[in-house]
Amino acid sequence: MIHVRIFRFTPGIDKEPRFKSYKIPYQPGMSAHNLLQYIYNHIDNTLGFRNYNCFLGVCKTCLVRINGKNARACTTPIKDGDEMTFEPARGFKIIRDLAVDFAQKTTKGMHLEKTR
Amino acid sequence: MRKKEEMVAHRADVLVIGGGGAGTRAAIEVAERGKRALLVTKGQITHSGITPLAQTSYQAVFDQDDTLDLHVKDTVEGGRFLGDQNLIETMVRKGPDTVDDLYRYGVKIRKAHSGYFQRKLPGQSKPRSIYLSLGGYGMMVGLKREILRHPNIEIYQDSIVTKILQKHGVPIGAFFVDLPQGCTHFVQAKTIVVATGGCEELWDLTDTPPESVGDGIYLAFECGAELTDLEMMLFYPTVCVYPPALKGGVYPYETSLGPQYVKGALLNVEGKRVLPEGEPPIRDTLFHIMIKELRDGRGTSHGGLILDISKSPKSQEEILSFLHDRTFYKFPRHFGIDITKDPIEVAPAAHYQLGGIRINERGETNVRGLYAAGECAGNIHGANRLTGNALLDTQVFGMEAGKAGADTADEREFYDANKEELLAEQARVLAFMTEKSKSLSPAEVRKKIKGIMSRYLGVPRDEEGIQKGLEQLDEVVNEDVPRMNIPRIKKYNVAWQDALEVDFMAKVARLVSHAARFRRESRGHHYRSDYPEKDNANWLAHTALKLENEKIHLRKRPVVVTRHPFKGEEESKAK
Repeated sequence: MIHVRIFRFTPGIDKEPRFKSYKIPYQPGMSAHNLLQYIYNHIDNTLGFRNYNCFLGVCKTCLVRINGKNARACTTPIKDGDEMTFEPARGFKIIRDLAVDFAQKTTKGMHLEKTR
Repeated sequence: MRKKEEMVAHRADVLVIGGGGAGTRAAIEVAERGKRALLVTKGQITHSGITPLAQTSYQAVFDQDDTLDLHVKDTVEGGRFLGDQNLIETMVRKGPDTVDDLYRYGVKIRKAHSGYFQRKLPGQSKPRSIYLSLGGYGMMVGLKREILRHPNIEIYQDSIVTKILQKHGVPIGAFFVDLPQGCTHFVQAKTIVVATGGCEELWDLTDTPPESVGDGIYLAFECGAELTDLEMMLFYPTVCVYPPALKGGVYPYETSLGPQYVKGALLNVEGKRVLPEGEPPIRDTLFHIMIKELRDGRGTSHGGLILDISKSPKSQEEILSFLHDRTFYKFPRHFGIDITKDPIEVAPAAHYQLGGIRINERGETNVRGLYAAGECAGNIHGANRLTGNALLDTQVFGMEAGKAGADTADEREFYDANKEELLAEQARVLAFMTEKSKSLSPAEVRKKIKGIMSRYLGVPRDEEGIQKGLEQLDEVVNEDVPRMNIPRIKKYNVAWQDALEVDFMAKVARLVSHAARFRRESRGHHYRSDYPEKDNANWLAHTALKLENEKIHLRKRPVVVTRHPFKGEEESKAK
């Protein structure tokens, strides 16, 4: 069993973020991205995250903060009994929960890409 | 829910639907011609679409021993004479220029001596594959950089087009859902380019992202566009099935099995080699061999065969010279798997939609003002696609469709949409949020559709199975889709995208099934166990599928032949 805490926050609606806990059955050879897909598909489809995978570890669409550090969820291996905290990737504007806007970097001095 | 829903209005000369290789290239072309483009994409550019998942190979003729005609001939024969040769000629002729364009956009392309590094992969008479660093992802990084340079391109990311609106049979704009804002939009456009990719997601095992549902194909079909060869789904032979973290990843047989490269082995569960000595056959032939092994019960418990590079006679050093910078070597290492030592389990997976919206050399469909490019366009590759022709297709036809869309916009005006029609579409997309009795989640319905398609429209298929599949899909459309219920969240509601996609999936799955039933022969990636042979007398033709008087009409359409007429089976046999 894997114990996961996930950052939940809808900007403009929620006053402040909260964490929601989930228990996910362990499968050998799973990644952190598989965990999020499992939660969305089987436990809670209110979760906001980017359900996209390049299967190559290059596109960084699954970038999230895992236990305090930015990491690609698709290249993060999972062990049985792991306790993990997921937060949105640091440095980008939060859209909702774990989904961020990669086109809007929030670090000062960074170039803002044009989106709309 | 608020009483009156917001709907934002826009105008653009050309609306481009899709933000992968073809869509971004089309938008660049529109902007370069001084027109305004609005590009709507379901994710964020470089973080969405199918292009970022492509491998490194991009075919174009540069080698001094190579000729344009050889590239055309290889593509025609590889496609089992089902590709329209006017399109193949256009693609091949403009290929080299598009490579130079990509280079100009900043895409990293491997160089050798005075020109581009090129290697020979299965199906190519001469070394013809350019090597893009980081593959399709690397290509998207360059295209994104270029697109951001053009102030005339407006981009709506994380947004889903659900309907193209028409007046007098001509498209006048489109309705879309904006996930981050949680609102809906209507964009008026003089012309529309559809560049939405394929529908691989209809099958269980795919190597494409979940958003690959064929939405643009249905949008065009609803407008009266003719669809072609929808039964032709290319199954890539070597896609990982286990472990879960690697499932869906492509482990290219061209490199891992090719004798001039890694020369690994493909084994069944008994440890026996399943391929003859020498260069691996091209995709359709290879996957037939694999499917037979799997169906005869010689697969692993996860339904795969074993790709074993440790069986290569070559030294570790030589093997690594081919693999050390490849993503499919680096990625498994995060999970403690070294593919040069550890065998991995692979099986054929839905990889590329060969059929799609019928176009001509200019990317025009049969509907005035509607264009298509890239994977969602249909009659280019025929019954089987050669490696490196997909990325090439996105750039050539992206450019052509963008050009035609921009030029035609000059002759056209903006039209107002019928307000009732817009409000009805808004009500339809919002209805997924209203509570229902016996509700289903989009994830459940998606799984069901994938199950039906894999069971009855995988490989092989037959009349009886396809009929059963169609009956079950009718049930999904009439009963399950209306029961789909999603959380009442407006802002970035993942389940909303899921529900809209599943709705498209159910409709596209039916079209694919109708086409598969219609083609009573086996060719390329379409294999009918009740008609196991190629029938060149009757079926050297496209299946053409069209909406007429609210009904699906199927007929045959002749293949466009220019310089490579079919002369008999001897000449077309697999290389």
